Amino acid sequence: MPEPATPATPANVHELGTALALDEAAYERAVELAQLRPDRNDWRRWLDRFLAAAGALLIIAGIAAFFAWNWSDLHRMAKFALVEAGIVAAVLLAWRLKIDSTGGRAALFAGAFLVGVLLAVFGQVYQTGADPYGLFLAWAVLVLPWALVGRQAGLWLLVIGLLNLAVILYWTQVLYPPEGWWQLTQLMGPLVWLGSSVLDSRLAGWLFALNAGALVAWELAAGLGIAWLRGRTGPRLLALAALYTVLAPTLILIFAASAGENADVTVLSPLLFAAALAACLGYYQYGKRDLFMLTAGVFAAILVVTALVIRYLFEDIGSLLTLAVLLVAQIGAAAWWLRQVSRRWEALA
Amino acid sequence: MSRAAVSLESVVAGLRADGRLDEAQAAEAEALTGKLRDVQPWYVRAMVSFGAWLASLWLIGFVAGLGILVGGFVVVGLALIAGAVTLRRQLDNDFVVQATLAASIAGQALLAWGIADSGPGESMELLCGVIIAVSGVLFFIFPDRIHRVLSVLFAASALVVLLYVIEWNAAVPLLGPALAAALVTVHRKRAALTAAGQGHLLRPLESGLMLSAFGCLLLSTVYLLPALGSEFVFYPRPWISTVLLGALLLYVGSFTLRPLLEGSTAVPVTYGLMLAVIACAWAAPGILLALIVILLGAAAGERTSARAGIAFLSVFVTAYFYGMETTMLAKSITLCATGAAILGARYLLLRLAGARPTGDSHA
Repeated sequence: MPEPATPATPANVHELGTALALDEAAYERAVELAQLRPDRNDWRRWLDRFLAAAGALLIIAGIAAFFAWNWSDLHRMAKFALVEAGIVAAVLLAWRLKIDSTGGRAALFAGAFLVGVLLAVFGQVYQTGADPYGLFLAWAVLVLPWALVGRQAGLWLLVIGLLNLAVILYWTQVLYPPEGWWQLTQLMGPLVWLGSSVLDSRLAGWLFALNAGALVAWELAAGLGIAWLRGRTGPRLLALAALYTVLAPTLILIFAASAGENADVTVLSPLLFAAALAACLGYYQYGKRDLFMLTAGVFAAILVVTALVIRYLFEDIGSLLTLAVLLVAQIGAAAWWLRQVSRRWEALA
Repeated sequence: MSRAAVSLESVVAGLRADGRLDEAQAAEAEALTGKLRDVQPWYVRAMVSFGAWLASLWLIGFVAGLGILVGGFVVVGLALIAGAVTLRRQLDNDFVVQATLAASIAGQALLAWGIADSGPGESMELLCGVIIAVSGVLFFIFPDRIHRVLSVLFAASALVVLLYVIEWNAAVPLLGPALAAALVTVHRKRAALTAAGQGHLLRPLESGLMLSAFGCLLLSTVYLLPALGSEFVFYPRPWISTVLLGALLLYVGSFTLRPLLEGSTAVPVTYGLMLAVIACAWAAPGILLALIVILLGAAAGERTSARAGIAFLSVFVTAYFYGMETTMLAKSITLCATGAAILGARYLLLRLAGARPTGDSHA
């Protein structure tokens, strides 16, 4: 079986020149052989794209700054017209560039994003009094047909992200509004608020079900050979989201067991974590081979084991030495195991 | 053939065919390509790095806890640095690389803390001097790329602080262009310096100089509210940087754009456009530094450098506009005018430099 080739990147060529102590002429020849320097045509193409992108972005930023300058003075119809014109322009651009091209995909995604801006402006102008979860749910429902026809992973990730937000908002503002000190999380910014959703194992469990379900569906669809689902960014993001919703409450349960009565963190999260870890290590080792997923799973397991040791064995400054040795052993074993798995796959390929 | 299709093995084969490699070098090249191929993916290295840093910090906490009793921060810091250098020079696996990096940086922090804590008066100047000296020595003796980049950054940062401490603020606008000039010089002399046996120092030196120059130029965007009544000037006369970086941009443009402009009538127009950009960036020299880095990266086929320049351009423009005491309308006009000028420049350049490009890029 032939060895896979090492790419002649600038860093690798320089590494070669350094290791072999190439003289000046040989170094220049290596750079030439690696075709690192752009020719006239490359330069023109690069300038074409770079200057077009830079100019367009500056003008878009300038237009945004202009509307920010007098947004409050604009008539409501002008606001709607602006956003809707943006949606129409994005859709027309996607149609003109073809929705499978890079530009077409970007335009369609921008249009789908502007749908949410339109809903936000609608809520701002008419003060409908609707619960905020409705905005994200309506947004997800409205862009779902776009995702169906758009054939791009980004739109599906947007839909799933919006559904996550809708679930969190429905849970925390309608079903179980936080009480006591936990209300502060809603005042500390959206990131803290979203992060605090894992303080309730039931909500975290629903989010896990949503993201894990989406991941399973994605992997099944990709297994059917759908070309635009071949990329691994989407499933990896979904897997990380699903893992976070069971790992974070598990760590909270370990570190802050005494706050359990306030945080609503229960044994459900560790159970889901164990199940998710077993499924991840099994499927991505023997089914769909993905070293990233295995790394994420192993790393999560190391975090849980280390957290347990800190919680139950930490006594004094001397415990730091024990912790350091334990972590070194775990990380070393994980890296060794991942290398073995990788080599086993190479041997089977 | 595009660059994506070129392998290091074919480069080695080409060098052998040219008679530029002897048998021993060919064998070494084969071993090197195998080693480069066997590098773990970034996420495995990230996990190992995280573990190494955390374990090292716990270990350092343990040692420092003992060190306060037996000799203080300076002694512990020096011991950590010495231990890290010794271990790193002997071992090269992922874990040791990260653990020694963390130990060395923690050692330097403890050393700096110990010196700063040693007394009042001249301790700040002494501290800056020690950081510059230690970073200078470690740059050469600590065989790690990231550590070398950090050494350059630490030394440059200490130099900036020293200038402020001794109230040489007027020299600050010179520092960014000086670092950028050093970057361009090293970049131009890469082949010669590699042949002289300094190849292992070049890429970290270039990265360090680039990041240090970025940091220096970002100081020009620092805006102190007039209400604070402070007379302290972070970056006096930024136009000095603009003039120096403008000259450097013209020089860089002269050799990087040569393949595009050779034999075309666009040469005077290109220089005219560069002069116009320099004039537009009179109060924003960071834009010129970004363009220099982008041009260097694009000319060498180094996407990372080009992207770093683009990222710095975004950060600098954001910081510049965020800090300025101007209305959104004025910002809007500036952004739109600059964007339109760039699109106009693109039209002119592509029209004068020849037919529109075709095919796939490898630049």
